[in-house]
Amino acid sequence: MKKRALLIFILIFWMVGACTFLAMKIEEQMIPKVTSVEPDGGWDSDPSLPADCLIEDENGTHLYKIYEGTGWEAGTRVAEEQGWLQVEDKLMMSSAWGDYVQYSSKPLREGELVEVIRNGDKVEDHWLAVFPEDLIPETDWKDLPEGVKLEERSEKAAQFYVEDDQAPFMAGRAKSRIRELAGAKVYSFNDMTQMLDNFTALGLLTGMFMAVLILWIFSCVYSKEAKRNRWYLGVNLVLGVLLLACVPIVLNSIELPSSLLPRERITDIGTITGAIDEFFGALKGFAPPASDTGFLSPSLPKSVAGREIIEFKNMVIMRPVLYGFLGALFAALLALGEKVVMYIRRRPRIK
Amino acid sequence: MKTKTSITGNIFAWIFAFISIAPFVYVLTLSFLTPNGITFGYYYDVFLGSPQYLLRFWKSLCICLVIVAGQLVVSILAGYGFAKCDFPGKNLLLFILMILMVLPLQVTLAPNYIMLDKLGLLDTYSALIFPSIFIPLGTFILTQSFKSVSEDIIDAAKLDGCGLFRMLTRIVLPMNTSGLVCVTLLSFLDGWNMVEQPIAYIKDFQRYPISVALAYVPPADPTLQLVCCILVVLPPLFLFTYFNRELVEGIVLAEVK
Repeated sequence: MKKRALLIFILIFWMVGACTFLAMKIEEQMIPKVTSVEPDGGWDSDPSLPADCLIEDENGTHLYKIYEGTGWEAGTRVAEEQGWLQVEDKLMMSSAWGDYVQYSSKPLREGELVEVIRNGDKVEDHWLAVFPEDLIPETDWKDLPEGVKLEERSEKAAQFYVEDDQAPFMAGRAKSRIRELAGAKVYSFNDMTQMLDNFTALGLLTGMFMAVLILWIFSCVYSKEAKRNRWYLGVNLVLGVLLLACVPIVLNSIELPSSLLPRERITDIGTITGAIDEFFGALKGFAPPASDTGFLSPSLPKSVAGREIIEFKNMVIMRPVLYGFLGALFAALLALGEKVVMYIRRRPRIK
Repeated sequence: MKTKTSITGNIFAWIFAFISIAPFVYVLTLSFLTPNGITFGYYYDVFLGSPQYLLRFWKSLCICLVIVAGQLVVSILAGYGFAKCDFPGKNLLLFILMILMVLPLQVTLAPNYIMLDKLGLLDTYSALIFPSIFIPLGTFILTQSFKSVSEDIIDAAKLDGCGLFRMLTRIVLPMNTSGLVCVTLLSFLDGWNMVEQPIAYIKDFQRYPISVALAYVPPADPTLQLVCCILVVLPPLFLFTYFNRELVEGIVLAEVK
C-alpha cells in the first residue's frame, strides 16, 4: 500500500509540477496582444472612437474597454462595452473614458487578460488572405496602400509583401490597411514561421513526458523488490526530477504567435491545425498546374517566401512525433540498461 | 453466530465507508459535469489555463511543510523533556500546556495578532508559520507517546554512552513512529486547512493560502471550485494513504493503552 501510494502520488505531483510550469507558459502565450485607443471629443461633443475598435466574431460585434482587475482577476483585462452607435467610420458614445481595444492579435473574451502593446516594432512580412467562397473581392489589387505589394493571387487567396508591418501581427490592423480584405482570413508568414519554429521544442516536451511515463512504469516494476532495487529506483527518481527541472528550460524557448492560437484553450489543437491546413492549402493554390512543372517536380508556388515556408514546414512537421518517440525510446533503453546492469551484478558466480 | 456478526459488521462498515466517501465521489463526479454533458474544460482552467491555482497550491504546500518540520522539532524536544526529564515546575508547565491546548483558536487570534504586529510579521508568511509551529497539541501527543518508552531502555542506552541526540534519533523516535505520524498529519492538516489565521493576519490577497483563496474562486463557476477542491484534497489524500498503516497502528495502540 505504502509503495503503491508513493508511486502513484509521485507521478501525480510530477504532473502537477509540470502543469504549473506549463500553465505559466500557456497563460503568458494565450494572453491576446492588443493596441489601445482613447476616445476623442471634449466637453462640447460626445466622445467617439474609431470604427476599427469593433471586433467581430461568431457571436457578433463587440467593443472592449480595458480595466485593471483585482483578487483572482488581478491584471489588465477587457470588459465588453455597450451603448455605442456606429456612424460611418466612428463609434459614437454617450460617455466614454479610459482605454479601449482597437486591434487584437486574436478574438477576445469578456474579462480576459490582455497585454497592451504601446509601440510595436516595424517588420518586413508577407500576408496571405484566404477568402470564403461568397466573399471573393472583385478587384485587380491596383490600389494597395504604400509599402504593400501583391505577390501572388489565386481564385480564393492573395499573397502580399508588406514592407513595414507593425509587430505583433493583428488581422484587424491588416484589414484596416487593405479594406478589400474584410471578411477574409489573414495570416502572417512571420507568425506561421514562428509557429513552425516551435515544433522542435514541442517535440522535446512530448519526449520528456513520454520518458517520465516509461521511467515510472519501470519504477512500478522495480518497486516489487524495492529494497533490492533501491539504486535503480533512486536513479529513476533523480532522472524524473531532472526532467521536471528541464521542463521550464524547454518551455522558455517556446514563443507561439498569438494570431494562430485558439480563442479559449490551447488544447483546442483543431484550430491550430485548421489554420495550418488552410494556410498551406491556399499556398498550394498559387502553384502552377502539375502539367507545367513536370511529373516529378513538387508543386510549389512561384514566390520565394511561399517556397521557403513550405520547405520549412516539410522539415519540421513530424518533429513532435519523432522527438516523442525518441524520448520514449531513450527511457526504454535506459531502463533496459538498468536491467542489464541488474542481471550482471546479480548473476550467480562460481568462485 | 460469529459469521452473522462479521456480516453485519461488514455491512455497517460498507455503509460508513460509503457515507464517508460519498462527498468526495460527489465532488469528483460534478467536477466533470456541466449542463451540456461531460467536460474536462474546468480541469484545463485549473491545471493548465492559469497558474494562479497551482502556484497557490505549491505555496500552501511549502508553508505546511515548514510548519510540520518546525512543529516536529519543537514537539519532539519538548515532548522528550516532559516525558523523560525531571525539572522543577514540570507538572505545572504540562498543566498550562493542556489548558492552552483546549483553548479555542478564536481566543488566541487577538493575542497572536498583537504579538505578530509587534514583531513586524503581519502580512507575511511568517505570520502563518510561527504561531502554528508552537501549537501545543504536538507536544502533548509526543509527551504521552514518549512516556511509553521504558526507562530501562533509556538507562541501557545511557550506559552504552548514548548522548541525548543519538538517543532521540536512534531509540526514542523509531519506537514512536505512530506518534510522530500522528503529529505530522495533524499539524499538516491544521496548516493545510487554516482559514481564520490568514484572514486575520494577512491583508494581501496574493498571499492567501489555497484554503482561503478557494472561497474567492469566481462564484459563477461552482464547477471550477469543485476542481479546485480535487486539487486541494491531493496532499491530505497522499498523507492518509501513505501513513495508513501507522495511523491504524496508532489507533490500535491507543485502544490497548
